[in-house]
Amino acid sequence: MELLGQLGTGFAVALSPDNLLYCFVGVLIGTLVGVLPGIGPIAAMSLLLPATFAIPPTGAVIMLAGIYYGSMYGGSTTSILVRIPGEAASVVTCLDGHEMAKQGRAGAALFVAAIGSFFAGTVALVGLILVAPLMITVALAFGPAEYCALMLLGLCLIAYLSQASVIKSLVMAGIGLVLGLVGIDSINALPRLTFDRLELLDGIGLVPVVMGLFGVAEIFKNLEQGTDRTVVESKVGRLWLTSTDWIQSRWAIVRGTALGFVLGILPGGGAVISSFVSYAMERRLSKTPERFGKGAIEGVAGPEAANNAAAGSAFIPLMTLGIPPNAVLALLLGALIIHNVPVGPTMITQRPDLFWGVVASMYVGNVMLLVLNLPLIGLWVKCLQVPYGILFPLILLFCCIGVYATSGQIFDLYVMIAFGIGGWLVARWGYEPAPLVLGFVLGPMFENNLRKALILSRGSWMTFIERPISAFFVLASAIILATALVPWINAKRKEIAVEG
Amino acid sequence: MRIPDLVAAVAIAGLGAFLVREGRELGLGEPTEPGSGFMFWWIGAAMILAGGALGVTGLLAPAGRQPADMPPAGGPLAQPLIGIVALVGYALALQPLGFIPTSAALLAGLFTFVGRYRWHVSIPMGVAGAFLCWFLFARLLGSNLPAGILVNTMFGN
Repeated sequence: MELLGQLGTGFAVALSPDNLLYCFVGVLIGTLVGVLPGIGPIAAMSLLLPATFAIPPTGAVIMLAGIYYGSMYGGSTTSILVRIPGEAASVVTCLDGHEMAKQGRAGAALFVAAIGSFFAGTVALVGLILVAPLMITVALAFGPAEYCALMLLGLCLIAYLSQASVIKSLVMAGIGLVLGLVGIDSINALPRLTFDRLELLDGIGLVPVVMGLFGVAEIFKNLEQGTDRTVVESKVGRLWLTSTDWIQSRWAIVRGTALGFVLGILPGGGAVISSFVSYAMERRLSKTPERFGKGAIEGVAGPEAANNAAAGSAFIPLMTLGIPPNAVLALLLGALIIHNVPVGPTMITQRPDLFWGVVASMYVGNVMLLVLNLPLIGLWVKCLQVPYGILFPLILLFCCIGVYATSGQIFDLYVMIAFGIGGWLVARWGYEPAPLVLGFVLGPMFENNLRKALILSRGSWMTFIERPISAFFVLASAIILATALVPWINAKRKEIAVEG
Repeated sequence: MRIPDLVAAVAIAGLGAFLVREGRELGLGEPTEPGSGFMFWWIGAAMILAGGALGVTGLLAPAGRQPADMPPAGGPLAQPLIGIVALVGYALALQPLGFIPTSAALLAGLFTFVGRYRWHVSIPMGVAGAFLCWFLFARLLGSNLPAGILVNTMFGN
């Protein structure tokens, strides 16, 4: 009953006119950035972060969260209609979604993607409501050793599940950890890696790093391919499913939702990975795997449900432990910190209006997306027809505005450019930026908890093994790293990561 | 032998060595009270190991064979390089010249040199884009964008 009361309070917050507007703006922008290639939810959230300083924290988080899950919806539309995934989590939807569109079944593909996304989003939200209070109870038993071990597990998982080799991903995570530690040491007040630059005393800003790696670097990558794009508009066709479609897709939606929910909670998991794993699973389970890649509806339903469930459940570790499971939510954590919101298990007690308001707004946002998306398909396709030669200079300018407006420092623009060039170059060598961003955000927390754990245990590393929860996380990390070194398992890992 | 992996291995091991040295200079502290350089030392040591592992992988790999996780070779570099030059120029000119002229120049330049639009199309689009962005971000969203030395001198801060 108490839970329902709190949820009622959340809906009262989410349905207030201001927050409804923020939610609407968030999901609309999210859908737009999901549609447009070259600008993802991270870049859009970074861009709007300075604009949220003027609005209350609850509204700010509702809007930024809306961009995240809105982009999951938007990405599927263009994947299906024009085979351009606007967002990484929708890459796999191209395979069968666009094949369905070529067969004149775009309407069915879009409908199953929307229904699957809505179902998954709703289930993830119910899961969030049920699991979050339990997680908070567990989190209260967490000490520095447990937090430290959990973050280690997160870094190992993101390295294991990425498409790059585990060593390359761990190197990126290590560089991220180091970059996160630049600035004044919070314990000894010593400047570290500041190279006598005053601008670095407060550390490197999160916004220039993510805008550089995910905005500017992405544009440089796209520019290598030239600015000429052809957009083929498919006929949408009937928006309803046949009974065969329902039969084929219903269990794929359920399986994708369950898989996405679990992978979304895991640190290092997330929407991209869950969509790929769901596609691989559907193909394995299918009695007719040869249909996959040729317009199998399960190949759209499963991954779309999985990426939306993961987008919802990813909020659980963020809002209960204060640990972001992926790079997008790392940025949301940054926003919470900027707005002085207590992150971690105390959030639900200190700011119940924000916690439950954001949870309820996610449901409201899901309904908005369902109502908005199908009727507005024509509009989204029109957005895609804006030539890339016009689009990319505007995106670059938006990145510059977002970075400058956050801090008012030109130095941050140079940081963004440096990370843009760096991100573009390392991507050419098969290194992924996501582990770096996660390491960057977790760096200060990881160091703080590691040092505290060692101080509390009087310098004994055994504290990580002696405490059961911490021992579990350390053991899981060790198993993950060990399996990455077994050739057969590693080959399977890459097969799943690259599949599609 | 795979040259890109070997180059990356040397770079990573070099970075690791730098971090180990930095960690020692900052102070490792005692086991009961880790110092400011403690994390740098450990991460540096791990990077040296990772660099070594990558180096061994590169040495053992068949020559010329691209690793599975490496994306296909990109296209010509001219357009990304124009983008980089434009961004650096923008960062240099933003505070002295102000947001609107600098942004108009950035947009017009990129429309022309990368988007391949003619000047008479690029310049109006660039100016319109800069004014639109200024109106959206500075006026509507209240972002702090630089006015430039000229405007500040004429109208004050």
